[in-house]
Amino acid sequence: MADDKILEIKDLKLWYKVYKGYSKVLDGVNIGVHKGEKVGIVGEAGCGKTTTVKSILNVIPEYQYIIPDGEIFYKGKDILKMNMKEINQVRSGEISMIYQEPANALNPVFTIGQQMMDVVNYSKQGKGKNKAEQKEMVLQAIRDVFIPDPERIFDYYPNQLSGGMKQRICIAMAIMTQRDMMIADEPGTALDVTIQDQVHKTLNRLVEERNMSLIMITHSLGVARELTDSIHVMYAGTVVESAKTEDVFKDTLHPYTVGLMEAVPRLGGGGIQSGIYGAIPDYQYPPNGCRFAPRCSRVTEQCQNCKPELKDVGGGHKVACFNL
Amino acid sequence: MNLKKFIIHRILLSIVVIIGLSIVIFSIARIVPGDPARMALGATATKEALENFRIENHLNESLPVQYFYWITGVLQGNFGMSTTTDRAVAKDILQFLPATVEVVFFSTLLLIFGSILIGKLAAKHKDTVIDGILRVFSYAGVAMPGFVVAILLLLLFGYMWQVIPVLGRLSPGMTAPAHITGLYVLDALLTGKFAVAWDAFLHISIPAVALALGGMFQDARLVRNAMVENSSKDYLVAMKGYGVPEKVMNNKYLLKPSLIPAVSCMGMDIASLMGNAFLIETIFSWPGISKYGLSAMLAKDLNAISGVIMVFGVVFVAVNIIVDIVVAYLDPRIRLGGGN
Repeated sequence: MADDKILEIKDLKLWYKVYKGYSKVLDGVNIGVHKGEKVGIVGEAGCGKTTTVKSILNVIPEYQYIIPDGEIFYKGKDILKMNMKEINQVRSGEISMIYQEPANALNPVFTIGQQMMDVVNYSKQGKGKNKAEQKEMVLQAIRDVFIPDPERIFDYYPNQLSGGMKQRICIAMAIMTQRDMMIADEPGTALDVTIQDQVHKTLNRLVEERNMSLIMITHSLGVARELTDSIHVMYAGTVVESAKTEDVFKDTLHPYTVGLMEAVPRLGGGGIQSGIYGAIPDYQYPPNGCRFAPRCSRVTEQCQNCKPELKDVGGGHKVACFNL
Repeated sequence: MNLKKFIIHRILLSIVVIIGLSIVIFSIARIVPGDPARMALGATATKEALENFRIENHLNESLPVQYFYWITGVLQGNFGMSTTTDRAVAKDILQFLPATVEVVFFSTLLLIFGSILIGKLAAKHKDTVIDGILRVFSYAGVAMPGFVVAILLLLLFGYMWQVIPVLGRLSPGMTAPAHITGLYVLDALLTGKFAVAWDAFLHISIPAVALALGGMFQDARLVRNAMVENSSKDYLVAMKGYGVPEKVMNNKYLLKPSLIPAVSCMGMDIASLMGNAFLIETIFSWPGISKYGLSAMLAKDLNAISGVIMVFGVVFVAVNIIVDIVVAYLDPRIRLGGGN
């Protein structure tokens, strides 16, 4: 089982350096991705989803964080121990990532074409090709995300594009070359729902066509249900529940996931749902035991003092909770 | 695509600015107390002589009429006569301006390249000893007036170590190169006198450094801060994530957006170099236009004051146009004005 995993994050801890100490954001994240699998990471804002996926490509500026513990195996090699050349090989040829805010993910002072040409030029697949071939790769990628008139877009600056177009350009950048894995950090969150739906469909189609693995971050359980094979629910820097997508919806176990499900507004009324009382903990002084304990309805003394492990409760459905 | 339109627009706008400037300069020079006739002719001049001087220079007319006389002359390249040197102001300016332009030119180069290099260095070594040292320098550079730096450099290089000649434009014994542009280094190079060029360059180096230092460290700070701030932006994280080499990232994708805030400030600094030059010129006994302007002010030499400030004003406006164009080149959001 463990062998066919293309990516495995093991007990990853990541602390951001802040004034006088550390903000202990990730506290033991475990996520595995099989080849061709579509994995969703779900959780509220600030729970460490983006940090987790950024650490896969090791792109957080070095002075901002430390990793006290943990491993990220990609095809059997620990990314965190790779040297510059090895990690650049992964970045330029194997894994690509779509960033959360399309407005910020494109450099405002270079044209779309200039940026995409450089990405191709330094990618494993585009290296050594001549300019015309590289440009054709770029134009094809822009066509692939259903943007008409790629030649014109090529010379545009990001501020000349709408939000939806920028998001598609971000996707185009990620799919320009054949990759093994795609990481999508809330694609479409910044867009209105109809565009969001188109973006998701485009993304899904491309991933399936090219047989890529996908890690998809989202707030929305609905999106996760539609697009993913398995789901990892994160809370405050830990994975609290992970299972096949249908199991998560059929057999919701962790009290946090239950709360998330209840918070989803449904057609047919009831108004705004109850949600979960409280807010995520202060990462500089997190709770000793379970990080969800201060907000949990099933909290016991054990939760205050001990950290629950992510345990298999049958059929690959894993939960980190003492009181199921 | 609109760059041409943008530039024409800016130039038209600056003509309006220069007309306004000429009115302000003209009025202020004449409103300042002191009798120009008495200052020009001295304490012993007779009443008739003073009256004749006033009539000759239209000083009895109303200000608008005086302005009309002056501006028609200026438009023909005639700034009037200087009462201190008894020569045409235009001629004086042509004689003194090259010396200042030469210093300001080298100062400008130092200011631009120095601040970018120092800013990059500080950003690369953020929060380390190097960054700390550069930070101290930049605060010191901002806090210390240029003339203090000038005197310190003068003492160190000219007096204690005596490694670099510090007074005047050339060492005694050197003959000035043939007058082509008036810029000694350039003229000497053009006529093939390399020893003279080197000597002239050494003479310029210390004044140029003294002039540029404050602004250079200040702008380096801006470059450094912008680079640090931009380095965690998603568009750089994204580029890093696509395996674009660090060198390309830093020199292209990080540097260009980070220069935008610094360039506007650099423009102001460069434009003020000319005006700030007068203390430096006094300290290094540099025969430049700022020094000429200063003595004109002390003597209430109206035509010379107006002429010199007019030149400064035009340079200031011209530098600002260039800065606007550079910023527009760097930042398409300004050039294209957002949207389609």
